[in-house]
Amino acid sequence: MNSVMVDFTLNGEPRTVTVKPNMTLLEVIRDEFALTGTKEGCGQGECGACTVILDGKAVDSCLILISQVQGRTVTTIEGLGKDGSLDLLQSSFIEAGAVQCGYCTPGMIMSAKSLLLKNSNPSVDEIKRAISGNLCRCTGYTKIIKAVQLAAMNARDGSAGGEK
Amino acid sequence: MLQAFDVIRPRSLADALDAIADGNATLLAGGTDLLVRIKKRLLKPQLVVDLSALSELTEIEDEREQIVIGSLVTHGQIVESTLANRYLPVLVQGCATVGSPQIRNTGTLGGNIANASPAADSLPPLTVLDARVIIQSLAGKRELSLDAFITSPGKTQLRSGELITGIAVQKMQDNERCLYRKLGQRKALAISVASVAVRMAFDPAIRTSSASGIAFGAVVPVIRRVPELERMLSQGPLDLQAIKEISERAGEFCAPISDLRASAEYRRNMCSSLLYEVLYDLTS
Repeated sequence: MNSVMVDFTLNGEPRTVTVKPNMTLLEVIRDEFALTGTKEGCGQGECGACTVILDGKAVDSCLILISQVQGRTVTTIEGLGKDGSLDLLQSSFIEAGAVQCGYCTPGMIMSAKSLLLKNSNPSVDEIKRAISGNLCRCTGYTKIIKAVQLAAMNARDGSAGGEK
Repeated sequence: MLQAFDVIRPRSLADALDAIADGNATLLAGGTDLLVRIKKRLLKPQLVVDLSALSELTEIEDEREQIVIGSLVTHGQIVESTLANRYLPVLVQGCATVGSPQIRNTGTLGGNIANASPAADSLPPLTVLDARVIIQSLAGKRELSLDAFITSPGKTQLRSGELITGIAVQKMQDNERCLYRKLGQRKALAISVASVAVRMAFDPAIRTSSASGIAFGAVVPVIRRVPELERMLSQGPLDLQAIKEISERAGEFCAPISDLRASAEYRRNMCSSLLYEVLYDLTS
């Protein structure tokens, strides 16, 4: 098995990895870059715990081979906050109590982020659709949906609500 | 960790056709199905040819009477495409029900066709649209109708060294209506239990359809149009009684299996119900 060299942008930084070609994007993020916010749940695209944003769109990083991200831009949960402060979505999840065990949270936030990138004022149905590929077994989703609404509202107000 | 294999990533279609010419390569389009099958050890590739650099296969093109969709166009791209929404709304409806947002952003139309699953959500819409599959190899280009291309569950006419490069579909006309409806065990991330796509040229003044297409998904080994039912749609005004009689016969044209998702009997009944709902909505 020959290694592959892949150049891509990870959380705003240009990166080059030389890895085994059978590695998934999820494995590279976690094992090569030690960015362990992105979780593995089912490994089959059913749970969304491994969701990252690839060129502006939410994808399951467990179903993407590393060669497929050549030249592309990946954002993980670690790439959302800036200069030590949380992204509005992260602070809204805390404020709304949308986190229980926390395992689904990074993937849930990345799916919500991909929605807010293209729609600053989503309806409840649009939020439900955007997170329909993310399973949460604790919260019952209500507080997650409220958190996304809160983040959208705070972003529209331009307020720093919840940011530290 | 996935089993060991080598990966090459050709930079052009010509390079890709070269790379797959000897027939030993496994093709990687979006990967949402392929990676699952490798993880489950249903597939043990030696060499994977990653098609992700072939940007020439990622466009949706307006070619006068028809739309040509590159094989690497994702379901998400189709859902957002102005051209597809205008001319192929039934395909948009089908693609919008595939998997989850993440799967739709990665999985491709070409991959969905190549996998030839009887439950694939793009296939009933493509079938009623009489889609043609464009195939290339070093030997040249050929086109096959979708229903000739798929021969049995998971099996197609794709020969070794060949690649699906596009899907050609005639534009729907302004007097045509269409609807795809799917029954799954839940709203997202659910494989179809049964589904139906209907397309018809309908004159609301006389409540009559002059031409139509009907195809069921997840209830037949290979998704095909159902000419017997289509003829019934054109045999008179589509009032409630006619819709009821036509949809009650849906089960005769299905050959469902029983599996962990549903029994054959349930699937047969659901075909009737789905067809009734769709015809009701299309004619109101």
